[in-house]
Amino acid sequence: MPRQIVCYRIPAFQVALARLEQPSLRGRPLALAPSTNSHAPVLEVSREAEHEGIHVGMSVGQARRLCPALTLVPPDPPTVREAVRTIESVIARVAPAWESPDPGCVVFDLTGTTRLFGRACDTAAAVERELAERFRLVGVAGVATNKLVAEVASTVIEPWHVYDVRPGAESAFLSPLPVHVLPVPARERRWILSLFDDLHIATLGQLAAYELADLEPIVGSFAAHVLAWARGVDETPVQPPARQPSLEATVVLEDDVIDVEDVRRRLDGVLETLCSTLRRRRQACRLLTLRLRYRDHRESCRSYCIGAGCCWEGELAHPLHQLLYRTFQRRVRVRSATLALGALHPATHQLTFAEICPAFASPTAGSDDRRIRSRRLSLALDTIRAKFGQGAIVWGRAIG
Amino acid sequence: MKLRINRDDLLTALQRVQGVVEKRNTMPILANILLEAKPEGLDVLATDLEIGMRGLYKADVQEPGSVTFSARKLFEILREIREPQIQLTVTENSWVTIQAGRSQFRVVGLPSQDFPSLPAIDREGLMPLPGSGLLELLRRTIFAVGDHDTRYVLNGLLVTVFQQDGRWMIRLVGTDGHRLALAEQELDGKDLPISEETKVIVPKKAAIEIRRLLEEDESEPLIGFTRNMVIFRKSGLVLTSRVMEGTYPNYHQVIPKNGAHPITVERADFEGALRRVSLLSTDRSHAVKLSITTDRIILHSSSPDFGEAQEDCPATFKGKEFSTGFNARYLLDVLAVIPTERLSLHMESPLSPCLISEEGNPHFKAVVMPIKI
Repeated sequence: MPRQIVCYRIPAFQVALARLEQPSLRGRPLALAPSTNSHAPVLEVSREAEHEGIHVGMSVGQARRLCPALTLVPPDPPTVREAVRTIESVIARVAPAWESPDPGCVVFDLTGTTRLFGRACDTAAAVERELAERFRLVGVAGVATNKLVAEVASTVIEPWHVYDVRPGAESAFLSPLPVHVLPVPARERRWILSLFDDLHIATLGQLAAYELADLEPIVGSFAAHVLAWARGVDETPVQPPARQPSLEATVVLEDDVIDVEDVRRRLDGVLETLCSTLRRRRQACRLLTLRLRYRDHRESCRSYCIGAGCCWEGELAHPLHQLLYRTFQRRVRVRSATLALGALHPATHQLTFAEICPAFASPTAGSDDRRIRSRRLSLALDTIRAKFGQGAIVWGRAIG
Repeated sequence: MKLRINRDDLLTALQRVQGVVEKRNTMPILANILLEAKPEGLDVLATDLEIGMRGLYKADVQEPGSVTFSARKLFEILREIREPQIQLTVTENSWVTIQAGRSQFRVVGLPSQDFPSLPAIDREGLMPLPGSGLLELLRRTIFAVGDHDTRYVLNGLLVTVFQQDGRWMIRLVGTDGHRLALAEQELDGKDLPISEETKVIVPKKAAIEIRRLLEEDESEPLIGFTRNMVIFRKSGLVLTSRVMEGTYPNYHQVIPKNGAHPITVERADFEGALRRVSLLSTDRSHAVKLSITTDRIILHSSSPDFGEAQEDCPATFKGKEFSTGFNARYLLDVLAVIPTERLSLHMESPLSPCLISEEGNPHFKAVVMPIKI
């Protein structure tokens, strides 16, 4: 049985949400940008702004020169989260599995639901209609036998339409489209696209005509993937949202703090508590996420990925401080800060020959010593706090 | 320069030098190959300033000369050409014309004077080695060599030629600081041009190229070492590489003595179990827990994202039962180069290095450091 995958997408999702909150913005050129600074990038644009020549990735300054009447709206993560939950609640009634690759885009699998809800394109149209009527969210839907084709189909039509790519027509549908629609990972995207440019491959049809043996020496291990995608083959399943375990704590700043150093000190305490919990659970984390909530109820959130798993505050403090300086960009008082340690996994430590033979020690052995001393201190603090309570030791400040 | 050459011969030459040609574009000319037309044939040269490869190929040279141009572009052109013979002509300003049947390509080249020169090699001082033997040594050690390690010398393979009980031996050692592989074999022949122990560190890239050349056929190669260079010569091809400077750590200190009770296991059973159990290990550490009892090894892995796996593998062990952890990849890399049916693991404690040796072969040793779980 061929799969029935639907990709529902709301073009310029955050712009659409801003218009729902402020109906006066309708019909005016609108762009989403993290700040009004002229160097800030434009993240989303309304159709009116697009007509003025503004596109995603352009700087705010450039966009304003092209369209002086442009209105900028900042990202509003709480509203986005709420809207995503609303869309998913509607889709959850008809689809057993769905995933959300981006905010405002949901891919769901309707395979085997024809007897219950009718044909996939009818179900997609019903979802589209319900979201438009109940929540005034206007979107488009692409229907196909796999995720890739459904996602591409949803990008080539205007709102209120459903594009149904029939089984067997995937290759013909993709053939005239440009190669940049391929979902090549961001890290490889630039060189693969420049390689296609070198080879004069402009459309997916031209790419699909290549033999794997000819493409492999040029593109390398990606050849098989890009060739399959160009021919409309994509076996990846729709993966239901997985709940990733994480450990988080929030510090509420009663006086609404604007001093970044003050926030940093408080976050250091939170980090220490979270790391102690991690060590007790024999876990390590690979992801730090910091969410700041400002006095005007706006939020800014950033994450930092750590190469190797870690459960030591001495080693996580520096990434946390960098994260804080990158996140705390507005001159508005902060009401609360939430620190989450994610991508948790069992803590393991690969032993090295340097531990039994100093000749194998790396040139950075001095910093290794400092790291070992810092870890011993953390363990000693854990032991004292476990015996005498959390308040038994507090950090002081050196004077003079 | 003007010559006619068999397309397959030139394609083979280019395939051989693809690994040597510099891809990072630090010096544009290093992305080129040098073609030198001589009365005896066509010399194809490539270098990245650390490794150089030169090969002589049969060609009908009408006008001698030389030129350099993009190795990748020529390779792509040759792959598409179906004609058995091609003609190369160099015209003014280093333009190269490639004529094959009805196809004609005009490619921009660079003058050969700009191409770095390769060192001149004497045939004397090179010692013959059985090709299959050297290939086997490389295969058994290269996997353990480091990649971009901050300890620079660990990115190379230590080659030692030494005398033991009146016989000359060659030993290769590779390590990345977490695992180590050592393989050695006796050098045949009485008139070897060696008088004293020789120790050089060969870069991993050069070792990989030598292995690729050895895999082509089993003809006997010649290998030689100068103060700062290793030379490899085989059927018309010469590969030269700078040796790495620095002191290789004393690896003898990390090889455990065979004092502990050995854990004896069937290689195929252990490898299969490890391969299966590691499917559910965590992505980065590939940690697998091994619980060693008197008659079996219990392998266990778990991943917070996927679940857990466990399998028993029959084994013989006379010591006290214990549990330890390993990076499954490190163990699988070692098991992949062991041909015998049975192997022994020697460990003194759960956190001490594990020596893996073949049954009845003292000339191969692998050491893997465990993971603290």
